[in-house]
Formats: sequence, structure tokens, C-alpha cells
Amino acid sequence: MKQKNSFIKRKVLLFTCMCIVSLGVFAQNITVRGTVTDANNEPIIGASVLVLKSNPPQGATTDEHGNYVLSNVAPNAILRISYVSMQTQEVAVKGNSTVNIVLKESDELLDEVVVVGYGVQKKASITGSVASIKGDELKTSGMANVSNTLAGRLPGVVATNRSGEPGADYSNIIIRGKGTLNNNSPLIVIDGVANRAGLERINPSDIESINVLKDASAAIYGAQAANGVILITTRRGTTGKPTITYNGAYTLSQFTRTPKLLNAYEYMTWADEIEVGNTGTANPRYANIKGGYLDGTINRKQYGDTDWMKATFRDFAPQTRHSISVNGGSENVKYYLSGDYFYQEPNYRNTVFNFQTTQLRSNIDAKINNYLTVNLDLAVRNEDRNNSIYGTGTMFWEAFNAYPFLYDYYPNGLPGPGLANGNNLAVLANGSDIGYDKVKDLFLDTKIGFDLKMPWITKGLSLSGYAAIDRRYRSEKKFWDTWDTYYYDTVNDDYVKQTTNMDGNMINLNQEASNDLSKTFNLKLNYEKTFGIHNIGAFVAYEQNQFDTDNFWAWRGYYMSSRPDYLDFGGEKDKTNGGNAFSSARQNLFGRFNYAYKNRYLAEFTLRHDGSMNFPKSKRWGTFPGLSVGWRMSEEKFIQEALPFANDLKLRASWGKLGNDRVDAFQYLNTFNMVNGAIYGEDPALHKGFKVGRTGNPDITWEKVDSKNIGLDAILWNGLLSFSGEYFYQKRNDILTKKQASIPDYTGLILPDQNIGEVSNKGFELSLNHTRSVNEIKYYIGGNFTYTKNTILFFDEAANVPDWQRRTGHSMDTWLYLKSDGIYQTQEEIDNSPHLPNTKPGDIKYVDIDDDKAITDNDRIRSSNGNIPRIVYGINMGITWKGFEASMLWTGQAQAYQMIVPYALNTQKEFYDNRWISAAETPNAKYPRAFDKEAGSNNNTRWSDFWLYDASFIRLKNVEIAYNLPKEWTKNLQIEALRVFLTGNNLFTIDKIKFQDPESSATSAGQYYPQSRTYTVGLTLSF
Amino acid sequence: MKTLKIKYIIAAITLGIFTSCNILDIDPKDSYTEKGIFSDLALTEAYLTKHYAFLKAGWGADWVYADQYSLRFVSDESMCNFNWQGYHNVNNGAMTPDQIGGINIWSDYYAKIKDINIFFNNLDVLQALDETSRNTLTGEAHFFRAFYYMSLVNMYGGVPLITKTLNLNDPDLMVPRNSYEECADFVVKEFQKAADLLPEKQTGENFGRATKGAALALKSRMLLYMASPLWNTTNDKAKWQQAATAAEEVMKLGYRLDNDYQGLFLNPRSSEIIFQRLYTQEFGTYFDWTNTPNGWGGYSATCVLQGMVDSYENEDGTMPNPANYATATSDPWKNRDPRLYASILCDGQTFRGDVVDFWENEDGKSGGRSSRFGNEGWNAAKTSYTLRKFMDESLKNAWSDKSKQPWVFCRLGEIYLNYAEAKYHLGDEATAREYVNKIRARARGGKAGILPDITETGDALLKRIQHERKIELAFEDHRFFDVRRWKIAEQTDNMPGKGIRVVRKPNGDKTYTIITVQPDRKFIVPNHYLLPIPRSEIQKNDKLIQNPGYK
Repeated sequence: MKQKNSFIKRKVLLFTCMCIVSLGVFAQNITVRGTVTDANNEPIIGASVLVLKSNPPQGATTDEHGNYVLSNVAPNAILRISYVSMQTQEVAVKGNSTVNIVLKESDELLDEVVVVGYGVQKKASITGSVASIKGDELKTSGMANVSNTLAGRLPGVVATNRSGEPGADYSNIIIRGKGTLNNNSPLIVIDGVANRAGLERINPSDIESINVLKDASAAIYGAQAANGVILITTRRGTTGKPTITYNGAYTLSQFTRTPKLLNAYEYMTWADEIEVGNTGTANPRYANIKGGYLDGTINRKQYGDTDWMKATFRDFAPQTRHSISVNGGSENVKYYLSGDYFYQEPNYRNTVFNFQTTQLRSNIDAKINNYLTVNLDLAVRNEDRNNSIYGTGTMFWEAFNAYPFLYDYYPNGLPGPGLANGNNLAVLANGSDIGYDKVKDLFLDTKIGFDLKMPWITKGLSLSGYAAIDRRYRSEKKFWDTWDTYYYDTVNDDYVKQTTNMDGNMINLNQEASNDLSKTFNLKLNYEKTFGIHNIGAFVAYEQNQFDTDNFWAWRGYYMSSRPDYLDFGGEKDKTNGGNAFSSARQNLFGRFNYAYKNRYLAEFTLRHDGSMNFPKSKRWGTFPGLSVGWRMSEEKFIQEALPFANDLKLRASWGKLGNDRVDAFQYLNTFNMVNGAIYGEDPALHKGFKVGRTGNPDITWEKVDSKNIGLDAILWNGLLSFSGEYFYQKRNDILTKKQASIPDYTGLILPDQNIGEVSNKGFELSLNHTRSVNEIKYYIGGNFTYTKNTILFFDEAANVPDWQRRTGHSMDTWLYLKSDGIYQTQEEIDNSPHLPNTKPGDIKYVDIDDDKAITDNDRIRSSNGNIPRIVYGINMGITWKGFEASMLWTGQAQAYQMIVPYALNTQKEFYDNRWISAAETPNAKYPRAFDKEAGSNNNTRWSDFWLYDASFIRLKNVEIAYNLPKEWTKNLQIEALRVFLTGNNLFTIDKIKFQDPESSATSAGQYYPQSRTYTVGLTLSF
Repeated sequence: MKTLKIKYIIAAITLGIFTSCNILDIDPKDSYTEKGIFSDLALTEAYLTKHYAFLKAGWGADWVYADQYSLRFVSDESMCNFNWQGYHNVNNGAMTPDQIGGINIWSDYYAKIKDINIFFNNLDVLQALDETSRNTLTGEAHFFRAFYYMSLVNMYGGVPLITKTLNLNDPDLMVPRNSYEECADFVVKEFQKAADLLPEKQTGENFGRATKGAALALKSRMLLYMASPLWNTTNDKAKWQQAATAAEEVMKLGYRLDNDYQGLFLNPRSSEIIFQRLYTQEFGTYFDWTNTPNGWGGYSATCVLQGMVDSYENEDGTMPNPANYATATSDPWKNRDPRLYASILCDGQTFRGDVVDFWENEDGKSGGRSSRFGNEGWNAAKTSYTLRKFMDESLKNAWSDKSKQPWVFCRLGEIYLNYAEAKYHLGDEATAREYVNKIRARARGGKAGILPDITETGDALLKRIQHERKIELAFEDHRFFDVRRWKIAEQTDNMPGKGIRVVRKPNGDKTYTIITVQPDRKFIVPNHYLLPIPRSEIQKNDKLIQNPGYK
């Protein structure tokens, strides 16, 4: 019936059109025929030949010889010939009856090749959700850690940088938000090898591309795919004259936010107010001292006024990077060689600490004969962390607890005492006297592979495979020296030297070494063939991985001096050592089948059979299918007619079942680990003992996600506008989580993960880009937007947990907190309302949610979401004119909340300046009375909405201005190209928190190493 | 030809890969199986003796270790110098099911009970071991289980009595609390089983492991608690009789009071010690430095309360008059029970070879090295009293000399006092006085004419027995339970905590002022007679009924 209707419609349309045509066109129409070929004179099958402005629409598709025929064509007609991954051409008929067309490969947009799991695909024929970025677009200058360059650049990727500490400044990367109650990190694949380390520290110049598989396209990675897959591909050699490229950059980095703490007078006032509040004393400790700061009578020999933030940290810390590469090759051998050196200092004042990486890479492809190609990839990376024995995070914690009235250095130059055991932060930050913690990591990644075409069996068949042997050697040497500090002896008016350290005041050395070996073998049988209008691609593969690690450590103390700092020279007493090992393995069988009909209807099916040693024998193997389909609407005549400006229009959908096995191994066993035991005996001695571990869960298996995705891609007006939008829905079940909410502690059980959780995660992504050239100006502007929302459908909950605290139905990562209702002004107010024990005027008032006339943990409520943003976005723009380039990236997050509770001895000035003092003086105080981490005043440090901050922000993430020197200037110097640039990262941020970086996950009001703002100057030179 | 070669290579590779098929069969490299452990004597011994390191020693305020806490901070003996330890929440009446203040042993000890239940699950495997070893080990297992349950019962009252290993899908996970009687009887029976199996003495490299005496001594403690007013509401004499009999059994075993009251806590071989936890210097504790005054670089962790100081009698047996502090110009603590000087550090006394200077100057901004204006003044004792009991004064290097003195869980002095109390309640006042006076005789430290024997009768005698217990067993983690089982905590723990301020005048005279350091000390009735069961446990299990008073 439907068919008939449309038939009639078409007839009517045709008739009308003919009338119009017959009115307007007098010339005799002709029949046009011809052949469409590619540059190699091979016929193109299935190319579309369209008569422009024909009415009714006229068009044809080339046959298996590349021929087409169009009858009744106006002699002045224009033909548009298009084919996937070829440049679309328009040709005037000019009365000719034979029009042959040679299509050129399109060099951009559609032709882009994208790395997918176990292969590459042309962007145009991709049916899954894959976000990709080229290495050149990453803007890594000044970024010490590659993971920090991804935010805002890839739709669907949520990258949050929680700290700027050198050597530990990574971004937490999750794909499409969180989908599981346990490990949410995506699988990292570097050059086809899964679980390789180095995403963060890889030489940024080596990165050819980063691609992210977000939906069923990841199913080819089976039991590790549920959280998405990040594929990093390094550069390879290209045929042609060798190019040597040098990149050099110098960067200054500073904290995005430095906490402003109280000075000595303010601190003493604050501490006295706390003491009075807690004990009611009329004679608090600093009552007779603090005034001395105001009238200048303070005993300067004893009392200083130290800003510990200033004494410990400096404004700018340097970092440099030099990398050089050679790229070239002949028909038979292609090579890419590179070296890279990176040096970074922490923001400690006058420090001896630093972080360095040195790396080399050699990617070589050799064509042995017409059938066989082999490749050898070698990468070596050395990471040297010259750290303090005292962790950076702890330095911040200490800076918040160090008394500002203590000197960093006395007026006579002697170092002050610090809070205890010589922990004067100025001495610790400098680090030259205190010992060290040197961590060396050597990564050795090798991969040898082959690709064999086997046309003697059948055309299009090939076999490829590789062996990847990755090693990592880690050694750590932690040497605690003793150092000198001085305290002021008030009785004798003298400075007394103390030689101490914070590890028992003993010079001691702990040395550790571990080495990892990861072996991956892969063998893959490929088949690719075109049968007329049918394109087929398929492979089956086998892969296995074995991982082994072992380590040992040794300790000696009682060193008589700090040199020589080797184990041999320590004391004989109490010397001790240890060591252990761990192994894991995986085995996988998988395959993919692609089919394209006329390059218009696309389908892909993947299947993976995975074995993971994390589970018991009977639960070890799983099968993970993925299916995706695409429809290239722009290949349809009626679309081409209706939307002639659409260069590409593709609708795609996918479904897949993926797994997540990222849990501790051996949870199916009851474990008993040997540990130190008890001490007994007439001559007491330490014996061995056992720690009873987890109760085994014999049923444990991987968690599963059912992933659905639908997307629309469009390239319009030859790229003036491109658009991509996706909607996804994932449902995870069998999530591995512990029943800790429902199994009582009195069972004594140490719980294993069980397949019990259920979570849905849905959202959408949009990206929109515009590029244009006007005369010599080229510019682009684009944006991407990601929204994700997860909901817990089932979670282990205690039977009697109040309804308003249940996690089921909420997002993961919510905050559980008391609801506040201002600040108590009077005792009477306290007495007349439910309150925490020992509440005093000036304390936060909490709401009795369950109405039981007492404030208890039952009154806590749940926030809508936590500090993983639901919304992330990026706005990216750039312009080039002659040799000038400028680009800018803004990133942001929204719908994220951070609990930030001041919890230290000292505090942020913000809380001091706006504290409650008395009902009369400060009736509208923003913050409660003076309080610290001690129990007497901890009613104010409860998690409550008083301290819950909206962590939304928008920040200028990256700005780069560059100038490419004109060729004619550089030619005489034998220089091919010279580019100089200025880059800034994290330049400024608009947010609501102010006193702490809004991207931080620190709940402690600034007690962490902040994110970095960097300024970089650099140049790129190639010759 | 060439292609043929390649084919062979491929065949070889393929074969190579698929023959290595069992790569997924990996065993953990750091773990033993249950059967493996219990079929081997050495491993079983290691499994079980580890529990000597789980019994919480009373060092407290040493936040490095989870295997210790301290009940002296939550009694009227002392306060912890550091608020963040959570003990203050207990002091201030803020102990709730949400915050139990650092003395919550619920989850910890139940996990240990599970370990012991696993042992009992393997009795058949243990048949392979020789009988003597098996008996000792089985006896120790009963001993540990009794110890854990006794600790739980004394704190929470009746608790779920779990005596078999549970697994994840057990239908019986949700159980109600057993009654106090059921639990306490279980503890008594377990100690008795242990006593029947354990040797009378452990020597050589086994010295320090539980003995028959240890099991009987702790049994005597359990029976005494069961007979006390908190639980024996009808004053059933039979219960007191059981307690007395149990104490008698211990006294038959040859333990003797140590003449050196202060020294016995530093001497693991003391004839008085019945059960203790041993240490070495290498694996020692930081007890000494956390409790040493700040003048020596310590943290003054135990701030002894004024009320405790004033509980020590004058040498003549009278009680000191607090009003005397106001008029004294030097050493107001002179001529007191010698145990004061063995247990508490006051201004002007000698410690670690130097004089303790808790005093301040009149200007209110300078003072002695151990005052709040002295060395690391923020660590000064808030009450100007610190602990001397248990301290090893031979240690000189702050923080590098670790403490290795034993923690004494049980000694003969306690048994005498247990016996005296039980005998009193059985109406045998003469025997009660006799045993208290034995304690007082030792307390004199050879100094004749001080601390006269007690002669009281009736209620007054009971007060003397209780008082003697407070002094003799001070800071040994007894007071917390004693004031509860006697039902006097609502008086003793319900008054502001006091300390002293010592001010030195330019002429060297000192003034002594009683100050309030913890104005909010509260004991809420009936709540705080028992600890709250953690809220999360109540939420998990409908059948668990919370202790009285808690919301």
C-alpha cells in the first residue's frame, strides 16, 4: 500500500516536472556515458554520478567496470561525481556524449584514517563511536603529563586533573563518566599492545594519534573493554627525504591557587579563641604573648612570623623539554627515530628535588619482498624521581599545621625547630641535608611484528602477528639522614641544636627493587576484498598475555654517618629485608567482520572470547559480541538532491556486550598471607604469623555492560560546518562490589567482590566545528559537550538505612552530609533545638531530618552527584595568517560538587576573617567560631552542605601563539622550517570556590599540591 | 620456495602458541591454603600465636599502631593530651553510635574471633599433630576466643555469640544478640577449657604464651564482673562465690607479689605477672616518648587529672586536703602513698635524671621547659601532670629509643583485689581486709609506719577496697570497667576535669592553682554504662537491639 502511494506520488511529481522542463528547455537532450576511474586507472565501482539541478532528479551509479549511462541529459548540464574517500568533482557536460572522470583521493575529512581496535578504518566507514585527535593538535607544550592535554579536546572523555605534583600530576581519565562501582579506568593500548604503561610520560612528539573507543567498538577488547579503550599510536617513518625535527621548550610553572594562611598574630588569636571555646579558661596560652606582635614588644629571638606557604614554596618552578626525531625511508625501509629529555622541578623553595624523563624510540618498517613486511619497535624510557623523603602532599598538610610563630630561619640564620622532630618545612623543601627518596623507573617496550600477504591462497588474505616484550625495572632508594634544627631555650636565652629526623632520629636506608615482565603474543588472519559493490573485511585473531613481577627490599639503620649511603655501611642491628612476587595471564580469541554495500550501508560484527585468570576455572571464559551498523545517507541520491551541501551524512548505531575484569585476582580463594607475627620468648623474638585474608567467592566473574549508541555525523559545505552527535545508554550488571553495607561486621568476614551491582549510565555528546579560509586567513572554531548521568539501579544496602540515604536511584559518588541551617547565636537557641553534644554558640546548626530530636548520622542526606562532573565541555579555536598562528582552548565542567572542610591547626584566612566571634559582634558571620581538627571543636568539621561547594568552572586551558619564519629567510640556513611559540596552560579560571582549585578532589581546604599554571616559550626546527 | 618456508614458519608459530594453553592456571604466590596451614605444626603455631599481637595493649595515644588503645583516657584517671584521638568525645558525653571515640573494638575483635573459629573448623586436620602441641594450640585458641569475647561483653554487654565460621551466602548471617549471661558463661567456659589444656608454665622460647594461670586469672576477672552490681542486680551470692573460688585457684599457682611496685612493669620475668604482651626494642612502641613531657621532646600524652592525684593517700592514711594547694609554696605532693611517685609525675620531681619543670613565670608568657611556654610548648601537659607508671626512664634519646617493656594484662595484685572484693560480698570481711592489706604492705616499699592497714567494716570497707583498687591498678585499663560495674561512673565521670597551674615567683616560691581543663566531662545515664553498637551494624541487622539510651 505504501509502495503504491509513493509510486503515485512519484508519477505526479514527474509529470509536473516535465511540464516545467518542457517550458524552460528548448535544446535537444542527449545521452551521456563514461567511466569513473581512480588515479591508477582502476575503475571505481559504485560511484555516484548526479546531474545537478535536474528535475526530476537524475543520477546513476557506476557498474562493476566503472561505467555509467545517463540518458536525456541537458547538454549544458553539470555532473557531480562522488565516491567515498574520493574528492567530489563537478564536471560540465558541454554537449559531450562521453564524459570520463578521474577521481582523486580526497586528502582530508573523509579520507582520514582512524585507528580502531586491531586495525585502521577510514573515518567515513566507521560505525562505532570513536573520538580521535592527531598528535599535532594536542598542544602538549608546557604540559609535563600527556594525560593533562586531553581535557576538552575529545567528546566523551572526562579528564580531571587533581594535582600538579611533578611526577604525579596525572589526569584521572574516564570515558563517558562512571559506569561501575569499582574500577572505572579505561583500557590503555599503545601501538596495539594492551595495558602498556606510558600514556602519561610518552614523548608527546612521538604521538601520531589518540583514539578513544567509547561504545560497542570497544567490544573487540572483550573483558577489559567496559570502561572504554584509549588507543595511542606512535609515529612511523614515511617515504621520502629524511626530516630532522627538533623541539625545545622552557616552561615556568606556578600553582593555580596558593592557600592564604593566618599570620602569627592571627593564628594566636584563633588558637586562643579555640582554647577559650573548649575549656572556658580566662588564661589561654597566647593571651599575654600575641599583643607583642601589635606593639612590637614580641621577643624576636623566640617568636617569628612565618608564612609557611612562602617559606616552603616558590612562585615559579622551571621545566624544560628537548626532543629530536628523524623520519624518513625508502620504498623498502622506513624509519622513525626519536629522543626526548624532560626536566621538571617542584615548586619548593631552593630545592634539590626534581623529576626527569629520558626516552628513545625507534619504529622501523622493512619490506622484505612483495608479500612480507616486518617491523621492529623499540622504546626505552627512564623516569627519575628525585623526591624528598617527605611526600609533597604531606608538605602541604604540614604547612597547614605549622605554627606561623615558629621561625623558618632565625634572624641569625639558624634554622628554626619545626613542629616536631626537626620538620622545619624550609629545611625539608630545600632537601639538601635531609636525605632523599630516589625512584628510578626504566621502561623497555619492544615489539616485533610481521605482515604477510598471501595472494597465493586467495587475494586479500594476509597473516600478521607480533610479539611484544615489555619490561619495567623499578628501584627506589630512600635514605633518611639526620639534620640540624635549633630551638630557642627560653630559660638560658640560647639556641639549642637538635640533630634529628622524623624516622626515629636514626640515619637509615631502605632500598627496593622490582621488575615486571609482560609478554604479549598476537596472531591474526586477515581477509579484505571487494566484490563489485560489496566490500568485505574480516579477521580472526589469537592473543595472549603473561605478566610477572617480583620485588625485594632491604633496610639498615644505625648508620654512623650519612656517607657512604649504601647498605654495606649501615649498622648490623635490626637489619631486615623482604620480597615477593605476582603473576597474571590472559588468553583471548576474537574476530571482526565488516561488510559494506555500495559503501552506503555499513555493518560490523565483532566477537571476542576472553579468558581471565582473575576468576575461577569455571567462570573464566566469556564471550563478548559487538554489532554496529551505519547508513551513509549522503550516498543516497534523494539526500544528495535534497541536501546538496552535505558532503557527508552518516547515521550509525551500535550495540555491544562488554566486560570488566579489573578487580583483584584470586578473590575466588580464601587467602592466608604470611606476615610478621607475635613477639614472645624469654629472650623475646618476633615470630611469623598469618593474616587471614578475604573469604573466597567461588562464583566471581567479570561484570558486564550492555552498551547502546546512536550517532549522526555530518560534514557540510565542504567542511564549513561539521557536526557529530551521539546518544548512549549503558547498563551494567554483575558489578563487582563488596556486600559491606549488608553483611554485619560481627561475621568477621573480609569480603570479596561479588557480582551484585547494577548501574545505568546514559548521556549525549555533541561536537560542532567550523573551519574556513578567507584569502590568507584560515580559522577554525569548535566545541564539544558531554553530558553523562549514571544511576545506581542496585547496590548492596543495609536493611535499615534511612530512605534518604539509600544509594539506589542515585548517582555514584554522592556526598553524604548533614544539612546545615546557619550558625547558632545563643545558648538558648541551642537548648531549643536538636543539636550535637557540646554544641556552643558560633557552631553550625544542623537540621534534624528524621525528626528524632537528636542530630545523628541518620540525619545525613545525599547530594545529587559528587566531584565527577556530569558535564564537561571544551571550546577550541584557532587562526593562521601568513606565518602567524594562534589557538585557544577553553574547558569547563558543571554539575560537580566538592566537599571542602577546613581541618588543620592553621587555616585559610578566608575562614578567620569571616568567623563568628559573638552574637553581638558578628551576627551575620559567614563561618563558625574558631575551630580546628581537634575533637573539642569538631562539630564544625562535620561534612555538611555548609562546606559543599559547587565545583563548576570554566578555564582558559591552553593558549598558543606561534610564528613560522618565512621560507626565504630560513632557506639560506638550510632550515626547512622554523617555528617559535609561546604557550600558556591553565591561565585563568572562573569558578565559585576561590580558595582552592575547583578541579581538586581534596576535601581538606587546600591541603594538597595544587594544579599548575604554566608559561612556555619554545621552538620547532626542522631540516 | 620462499613461500613454502614462510608457511612452515607460520605453522610453527601457531603451534607454539596453542600448545601453551594452560597459562591461566596460576596460583597466588604469597598465600597459603587453609589445609596447608593446619596440617603443619609450625604453620599452625604461626597462625595461632599471631593472636598475641592482636590483643590490644593499653599503650594508647600511639596512633602508629592499631593493636593498642587506652582506657585510662576514658576514665577519671587521665585525659589524652590530643583531642583528635577521639577520647574526648567519650569524656564529654558525646559517645554515640556514630562516634565511639577510639575504643570501638567491635569489628576488630570479631574479625579475630573469625580467625579462631577457622582454627576450630580444622580440628580434624589437626589430628595429624602430636597431642601435646595440639592441646597447647587448642588451649590457646580457647584462650584467645575467651579474651576477645570478654572484651566485647565487658564493653557492649550481650553480643552475638558466633562460634562457627560463616560464609557469604550463609542463611544465618542475621542473628540477634545473645544475653549477657549466655556470653559471660561462654567466656568463663572457654577460659576453663583453655586452663584445662594449657601448661602451667611456658618457658624458653615459648615464654610469654598463655598459661593455665593466665586463663584462670582472666576467668576470675570475668566472674568478678558478672557478680558486680551492674549485672548481678539481685546480688546473687553464688556469683560472688564463683568469683572467689576462681581467684583462689589462681593464687594456688605460685605467683608472688613483686616487692618493686614500679619495677614490675619493666620486668617481664616478675613473679607477679600472670599474663603479658612482650616486645623487643626493634619492634617496640613509642609509648615512652608519647608520654614523656615536652621538656624532653615528648608529647605528654597522658595528662593525669587532679582528682586522680588527690586520690593517693597521705602517708598516715588520711586523704589529702585540696585546699592545701592554695597555701603551699613548694612541693604540695610530699609525704604521700609511695605509689603516687611510682605512677604520676608532678612538678619538681626527678625524671630521666632531670627535674620536671611544669611551672610558668608570673608574666604569663614564659616558663619551665615542660610548661606550655617551654620546649614545643604546644605539647605541654594540660593538667601539669603526666604519667610515670610503665615508663622506662633508662631511655634517653627521644624518639629513637623505642620502648620494649611488656604490657601487663593480668597480675597477682589484681587477683588479690578480685578476691578481697568477692570475699567482702560473701560476708568474709576479715579475709577481704587481709588481702587488701597485703597490697598495702607491698605499697609501703619497705618504709615502715606508713599506709596503715585498713580496719574498716561494712560499707566503709567496700569503699576502701574500691579505693585500693583505683590506686593499685591505676592506668592499667581497669578503672573504666570498675566504675561501670560498681555503677558509680555517673559520679566519677560526671564532673569537670581539673589540673594544676604552677607559677614560680622571682624568689623561687611557687603558687598552685587548680584549673579546669575539661569543663564538659559528662556521663550520660543509662547510655554510657555500655558502649553503643556501631550504627552501621544496627542498620544491617533488624535483630540487633541497640544498647539503652542510644538513638
